[in-house]
Amino acid sequence: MTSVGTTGSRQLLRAEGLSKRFGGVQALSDVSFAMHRGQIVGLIGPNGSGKSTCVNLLSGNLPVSAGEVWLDDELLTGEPIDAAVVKGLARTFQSTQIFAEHTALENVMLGCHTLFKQGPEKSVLRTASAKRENLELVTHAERSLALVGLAPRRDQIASTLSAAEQRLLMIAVALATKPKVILLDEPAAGMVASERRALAGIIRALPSHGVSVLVIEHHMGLIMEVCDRIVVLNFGQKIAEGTPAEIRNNQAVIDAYLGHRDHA
Amino acid sequence: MWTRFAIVAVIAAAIVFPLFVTVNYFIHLAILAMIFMIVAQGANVIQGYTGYVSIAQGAFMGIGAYASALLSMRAGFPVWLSMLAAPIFTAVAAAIAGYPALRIKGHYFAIMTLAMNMVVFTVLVNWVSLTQGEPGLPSIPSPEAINLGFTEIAFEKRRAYYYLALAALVLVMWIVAAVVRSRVGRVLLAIRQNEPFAEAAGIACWKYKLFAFIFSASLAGFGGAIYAHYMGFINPTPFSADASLNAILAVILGGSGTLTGPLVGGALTVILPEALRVAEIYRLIAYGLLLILVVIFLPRGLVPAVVDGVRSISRRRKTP
Repeated sequence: MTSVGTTGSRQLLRAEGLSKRFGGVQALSDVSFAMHRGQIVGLIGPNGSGKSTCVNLLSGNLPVSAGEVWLDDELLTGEPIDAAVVKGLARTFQSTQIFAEHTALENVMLGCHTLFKQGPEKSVLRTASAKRENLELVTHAERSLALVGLAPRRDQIASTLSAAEQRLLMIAVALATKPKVILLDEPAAGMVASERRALAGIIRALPSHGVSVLVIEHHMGLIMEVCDRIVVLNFGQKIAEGTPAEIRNNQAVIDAYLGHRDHA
Repeated sequence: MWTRFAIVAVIAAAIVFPLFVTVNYFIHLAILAMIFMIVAQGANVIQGYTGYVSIAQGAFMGIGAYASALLSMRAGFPVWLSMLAAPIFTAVAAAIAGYPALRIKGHYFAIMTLAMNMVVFTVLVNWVSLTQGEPGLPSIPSPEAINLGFTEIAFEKRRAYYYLALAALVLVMWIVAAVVRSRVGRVLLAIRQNEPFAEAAGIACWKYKLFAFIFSASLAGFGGAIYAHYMGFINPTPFSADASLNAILAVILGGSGTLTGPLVGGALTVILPEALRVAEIYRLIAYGLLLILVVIFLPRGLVPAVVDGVRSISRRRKTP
């Protein structure tokens, strides 16, 4: 897997002065933060605070208006999303995205796309080396399925999985790309309490597999439970950053978010 | 196992077909049907597997037909060589046209390809010094005869050309099957199902879309070349957007995203209008009505409907 710990606590993912304008609306202004290897960082904020915009800028789904994104000392800004994946940044989406007609394993195999060293033409010609590589990656894909607890669903068509399982499958596809960092955009959306607990366990285990996590979530319980650090956005600006305990007691955060939780 | 048996049976039936058919006209229709199956299979790659409807198959068929005809007539290429060069020539044309076109998504891509077809058609009509325009190119040579020692196969003969078209179709089916069953085919299906998610999985979708477009066009070009040397005469008419729409129709009728769908659909789009001649002036109305009925009641196409039907019957037998 990725080289956990070899470079000590150096910064892994770094956002510098990220800004995004949509016409006259400043969705995100001058947001900077960094995360270290092996960390689980939460990105929270009230509705419309710029969380999703921030994730889309990090992943390359949206072009930045200003600012830079660095992953392991490589500049990601301006790269299309598939290039960011190759460099080690994977993401999931707020709305469930899967390849509905494929089996769970086939979904995850598509996540292995960037790991194939043999050219696609070898797969067409069915060379022995291509077959061998395919088998190796099936094993890798099965591990990714197991990480999210979907191993028993291996050969089931994705559209027949439950809503929560489909969201986990989306995470498994992202994990199959062997990312250094995974961006989870509201992973618990639509999950009931028991499913959320299982999800928390899955997220917490990721750093031990060499994957650092940036998680965007509405559900405060989940965030407080899994995160090492939390970044808080409001009206497109970073208003606080710290450990869950610090954030819980931060007056600006309480005013902006937790205090109005019932109306959010 | 059953699939292999079915493939062998169908090929065997296709081989003996001319021996039992005495009416030359039927052989003629069968040749046209096989040519159109090749073109439809191309449409299936981009439309059925990749999910991008291209309305330019007719144009690419035309480019292949004119390329092969002109290479053999003006450049002195052997016919066999020019027939093989035609799909390469078409692929280059598709690469140039597809590179900008595939930056566009959804319906806009379809509109762009429709425009492409119109441009190609206009060029074929107006570049008189090369294509001889509307009156067309006459006396296109047949492929050179093959001397087997004891006998000579002359491709001016309809039956010989039937086997040539059949061999070309089998070759195309074999190549398309290899592609769609490979990792490339899975990526194309992934793009059809969810392109943004495919990109998020690290797939550079535009490369695969461009490949699918070029591949589908080169199949149309190959079909066009076989058409040109069979008919011996071509003009721009059969390469208008009508032909592209027929290819799309063949894919939808037969079953898009299935290997056998374009065979059934391609055969129907050639044979149905002929079979309906008994209805005389109501022919086109009947044809249109049939198509509408198929789309309403068998939206996934004939092949998936039949396969599902057979499966449910065999299941019922197993569990009485």
